[in-house]
Amino acid sequence: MTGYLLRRVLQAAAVLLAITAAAFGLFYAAPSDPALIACGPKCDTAQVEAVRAGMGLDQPIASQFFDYLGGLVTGRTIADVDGSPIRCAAPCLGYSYTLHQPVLDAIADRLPVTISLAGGALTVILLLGVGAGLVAALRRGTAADRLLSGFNLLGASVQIYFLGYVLQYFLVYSTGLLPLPQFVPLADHPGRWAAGLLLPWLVLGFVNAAVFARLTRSQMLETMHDGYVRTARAKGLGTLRTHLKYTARGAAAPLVQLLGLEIGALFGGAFITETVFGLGGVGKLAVDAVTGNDLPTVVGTVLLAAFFVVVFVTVADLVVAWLDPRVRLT
Amino acid sequence: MNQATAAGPRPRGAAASPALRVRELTVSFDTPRGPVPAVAGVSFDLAPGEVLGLVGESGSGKSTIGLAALGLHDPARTRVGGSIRLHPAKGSGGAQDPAGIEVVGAPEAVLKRVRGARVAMVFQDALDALSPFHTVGAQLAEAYRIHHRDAGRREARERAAAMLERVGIPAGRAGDHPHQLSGGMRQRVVIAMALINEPDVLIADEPTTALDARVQRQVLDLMRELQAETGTAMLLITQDVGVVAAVCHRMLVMRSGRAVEEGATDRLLAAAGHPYTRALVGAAPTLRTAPGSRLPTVEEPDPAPRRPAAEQERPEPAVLAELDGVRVDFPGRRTSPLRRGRPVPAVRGVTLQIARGETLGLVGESGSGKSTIARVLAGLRRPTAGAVRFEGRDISRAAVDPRLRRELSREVQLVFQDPYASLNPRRTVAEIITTPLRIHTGLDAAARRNRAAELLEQVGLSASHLPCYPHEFSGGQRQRIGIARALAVRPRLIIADEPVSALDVSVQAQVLNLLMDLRAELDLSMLFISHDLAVVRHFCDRVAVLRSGELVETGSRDAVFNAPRAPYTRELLDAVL
Repeated sequence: MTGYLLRRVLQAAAVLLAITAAAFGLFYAAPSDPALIACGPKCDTAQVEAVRAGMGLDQPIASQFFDYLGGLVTGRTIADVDGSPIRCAAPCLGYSYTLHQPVLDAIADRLPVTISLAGGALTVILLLGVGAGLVAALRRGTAADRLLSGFNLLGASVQIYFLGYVLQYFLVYSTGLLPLPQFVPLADHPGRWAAGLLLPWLVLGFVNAAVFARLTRSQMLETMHDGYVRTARAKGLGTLRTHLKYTARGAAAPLVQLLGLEIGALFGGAFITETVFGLGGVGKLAVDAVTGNDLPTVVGTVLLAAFFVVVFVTVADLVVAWLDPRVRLT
Repeated sequence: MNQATAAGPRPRGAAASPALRVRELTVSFDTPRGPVPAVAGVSFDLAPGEVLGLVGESGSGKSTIGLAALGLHDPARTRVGGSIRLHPAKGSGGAQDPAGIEVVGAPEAVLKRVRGARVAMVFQDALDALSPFHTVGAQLAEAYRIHHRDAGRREARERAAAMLERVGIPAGRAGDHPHQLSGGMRQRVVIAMALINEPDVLIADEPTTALDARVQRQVLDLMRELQAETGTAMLLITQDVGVVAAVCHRMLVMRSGRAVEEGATDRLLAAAGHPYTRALVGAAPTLRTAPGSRLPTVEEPDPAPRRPAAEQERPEPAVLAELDGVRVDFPGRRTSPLRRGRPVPAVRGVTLQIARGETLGLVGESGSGKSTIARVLAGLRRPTAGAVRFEGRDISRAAVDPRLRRELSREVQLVFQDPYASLNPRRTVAEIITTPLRIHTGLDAAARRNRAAELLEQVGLSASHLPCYPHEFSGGQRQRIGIARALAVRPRLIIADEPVSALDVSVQAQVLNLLMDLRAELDLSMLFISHDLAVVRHFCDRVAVLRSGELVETGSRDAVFNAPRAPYTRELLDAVL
């Protein structure tokens, strides 16, 4: 198991390095001059050149990349537009001249929103998706199965911005059952934190639950006929306990892997949901950076999203290896 | 071999109530096209301590009876009628009700107490039957704790360890997962798990079919020993008459969901009343069947004796194909991302010849390298070292030289083990058979179709089968299609890799009869690969015995079977039931 773990962590590190290089390439793929944008429309040529030098854009690409990598590991000092030095602590994702703050700080300001949103949505996905899939599999062919399948198809086919506005209209404006979605830090007021995010959780969770429900159902149905499940029943184990202990374990691997991807994706920001409910999370920051040509922030958010995906996919693989000892061999 | 005495003394006390009493049992499965009967009115008794063999071919309903005795059928899709009544042995602590426990229609709560405690099951494929996620010790301990609620974890663990030792597995292996054990050990674990609660009735469904002969022998001996020791009644489900002869006191022959004949094993084996039983008993060749004789089948239970296999006068059999010091290594598993895995040898320096017109039998246990040799000879795998010659021409590069491989495939064709996997389900029979003709001959479409029709007739099918798809045929028919495809280009050498192992015994007899006819008619040379020594003895002129990639013995059939030189060959022969 240790060897397997080590190999997977090394692989993840290699993937992250490759993504960093690719994201860094964005600076040069962009159609506009980063220095010009950073400096702003009122700059003259000399000022732009000063900014260019301050940003290190006059250096060879390789040395810029190594500076960037070095910043990620140890932090570095970056010159602001006016030439004043700014300390960017490790892991330094660069400095946003648009936001006038290190990219990491900008992300850190918004990360609580994103993580709160993702955490709640994941809970909904697990309860609604995996739960519905389990029930549908155990009650296959019944009305409950068909109802849940239909419900999930609805979730898979409806768009967040449609469902979000519809629910907001009914639950907030018409009936007043829920407050208008807003973000209140968990530490400040847990009750208002949950109330303010409940609607986004439901919408984001419901829309993503469908895939999990379908996969859970089909995996459970497939595993149910495996020999070891029959053996467990032949031992005298009850139906429900058999399915929870044996069938679910056999069915879990693809679900865990999908869940790893989903967690990574949600932690990278849920732009549409954030926009619909006016929440300022990482997703919104990323899209604003793209539209505003704020390249350091774009690269930073891309890296962060990639980081979460790679980390959670790796964690998921390790969980799968823990669940199924045969995986550790390969 | 008829070893009826091997079953040991009949249990006394047949007058006492049977451990298991089955009356007018019917089982049918609901399908979209209506109910399909699997068992239609079967009745029998199983006395305490008795071993009853439930014998029949696939689809005869024998496994269904086993599942019904545990109430393991899906109640939503299965109708079970009649009666299955358990009479717990005295002192076994079960229900005190003298009428016993009725399994058919019993509520789940009752069935849960029966399963694994009063009636336990040993399934065919231990790798499939054991959970890959839990250690074998944990699986055994669980079986114990389910029925001993007040037993602690420690007691269950100790009991599991003791049971492992009892079936011949060191208790230290309790922490292993099933994939870390050999096939024989896995089956021992399954047996230990079934017997851990000392059940009154043990149902064993093809418990040794997936095992090599020597391991099969050991496992059967173990089962019989444990069964005699505990006095458990055993229902042994199998289609292998040899297994029945070795283990069972009585046998019940089933066909299409009905009992055909029932009686003492020795009597039925020696003089069965029903022609079906006679066919089933005679269909599998034994080490005493006259080699090359026509085997009885269900359609033809008493075949006319084949004209004595004329000892063909072959003054100097010319070598057709030849392996010379062939070695094949498989790439090993990497132990670290930086190092290459150590190569695993599959074939270690094998030299053998196949003469023109000869059938060479290649015998060995799983993993001995039989199929690898077949692939090398067919030009599908390049040997790591050594030469492969066909008609004196070096063909060892065929696997990497498409032109050579194509030329070779005109002369050498394969028949595979699994007739379900080896035919493309999306192609018609006509397409399957004419493809090699299209590649290798200049025949036009009409001529190819005529040839395909002729081939189908030759293998006992008819031209009307040409537009059908493989799924419309039975296993035996599919294997005939595979043979027709192999014969299409009139090859000189047929490599048949376990061609009858996946078939029912009577179908196996049909296909062997067909292959013997075709071989004589077309003067074919064959490499016949099998793990079944009796079949090889029946079918082959010469025999090569393979062990862990090395030849341990080669010789004429009579020499190898009558006077084996290698101790390993003797071991293999001793294991034949």
